[in-house]
Amino acid sequence: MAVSGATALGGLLGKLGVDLGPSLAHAEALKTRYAKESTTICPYCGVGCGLIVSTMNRNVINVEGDPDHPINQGSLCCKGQSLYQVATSDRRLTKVLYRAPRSAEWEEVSWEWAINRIADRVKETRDKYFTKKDDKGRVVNRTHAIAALGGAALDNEECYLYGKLMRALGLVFIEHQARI
Amino acid sequence: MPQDRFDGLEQRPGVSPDVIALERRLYGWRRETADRIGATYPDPLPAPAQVDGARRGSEPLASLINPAPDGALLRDAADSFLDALDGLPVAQVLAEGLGDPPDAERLSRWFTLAWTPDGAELKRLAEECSLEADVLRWSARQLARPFFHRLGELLVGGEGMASRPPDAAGCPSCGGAPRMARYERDEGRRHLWCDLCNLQWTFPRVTCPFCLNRNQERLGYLVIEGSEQYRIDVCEECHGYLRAIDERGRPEGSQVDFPIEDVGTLHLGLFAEQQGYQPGENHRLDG
Repeated sequence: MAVSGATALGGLLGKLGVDLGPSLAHAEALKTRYAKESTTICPYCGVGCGLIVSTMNRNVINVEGDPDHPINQGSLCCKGQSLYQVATSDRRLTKVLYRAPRSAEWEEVSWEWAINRIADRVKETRDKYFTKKDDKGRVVNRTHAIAALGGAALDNEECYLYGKLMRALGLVFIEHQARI
Repeated sequence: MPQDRFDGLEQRPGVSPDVIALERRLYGWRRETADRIGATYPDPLPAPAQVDGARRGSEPLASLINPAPDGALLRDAADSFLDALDGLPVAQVLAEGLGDPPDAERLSRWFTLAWTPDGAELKRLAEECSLEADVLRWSARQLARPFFHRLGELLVGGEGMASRPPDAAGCPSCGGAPRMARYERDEGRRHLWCDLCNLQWTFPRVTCPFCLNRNQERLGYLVIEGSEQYRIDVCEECHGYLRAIDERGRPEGSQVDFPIEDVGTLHLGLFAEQQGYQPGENHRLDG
């Protein structure tokens, strides 16, 4: 791409009697790529550190702490620092893996199979271990055989649904990663 | 900025020897003028409350005081400035246009063009003097630099760096647009630099320093392949560009010398302007 001296800067320097040849030649040889910065919040704990994510053609090229965010002022913990890998690592799982009880092997399964299997096992376990009344005869409608663990990546609306569903199933052991 | 640093510039690709030669002259003149100014400028000194106010970013210092030096000091500086350019075509053009020597009123107007955004006055004086407006403004800023460097020193005092509120654009000393920026090594904070005042101040990232646009879809930056320590921040709203240095792409312990980098990265400015972007000062000028 040809760069000419017909710019405001080039025009001014030309009028000052400056030979811009080397600068123009170097500018012409420049290869650049266009990137953007977006601010966002770390998806992990409740501190809510600010991030700046740099992207190029919609691919993440950098993640860093936002120095202007009042909470972290540019710093990040080790989990936040590794967010770049969450977005880009080639070791991220991209297929559903299933290890059968007492098996040492992982096998690839489809989403449809996996979700149906999870639903079947929740139903089987709940049916087998559901307690309508405790040993004092009080109605409890619960099961101790299933526990649930939410994650910091769930947003408020997802957490609400998560809590509703688990309690509707009769779970008592309902936890969330943000409490840890 | 020792003279020997200019030698390093000559080794950098894309740097015009003519630009280095011009900057050597101007640098030498600025040092001599700063010595001559000494403690006589500004007179009177700004009141502590004024300096404090400008430090906190309420108004630039130059708008709280009268930054014009007294007539004799300004005349002396103008004469030596034109002498420093002696031999260059622009010296004769300026002398003919402004008058040799320029009268006091014209001198004062010429100086004021360095930092005020009055585009109408720039055009007026340029027409009166039969000078190109960009040459007139460039010469005014060069003339004013030793004086505004002194204002910048007063503003920073012992505190290292000035600041401005995140909703204020412009240098805390003169109110002008930044010329370059750097991203600091430790936490990636962005610091802007004014060439007129040789002053740095902290400014939020992901915000246009010229028009204060914060729409992240309309802000971007150009990565320079093979020179990742440099980038060009751009705004698609005002089409302003700002050359920047990312210290995180530099060896540990290296310091950013802005006057040297200003000369050493001129080619990035040429490239940006060819892409349709413009320097911040153009955005600031009204009329």
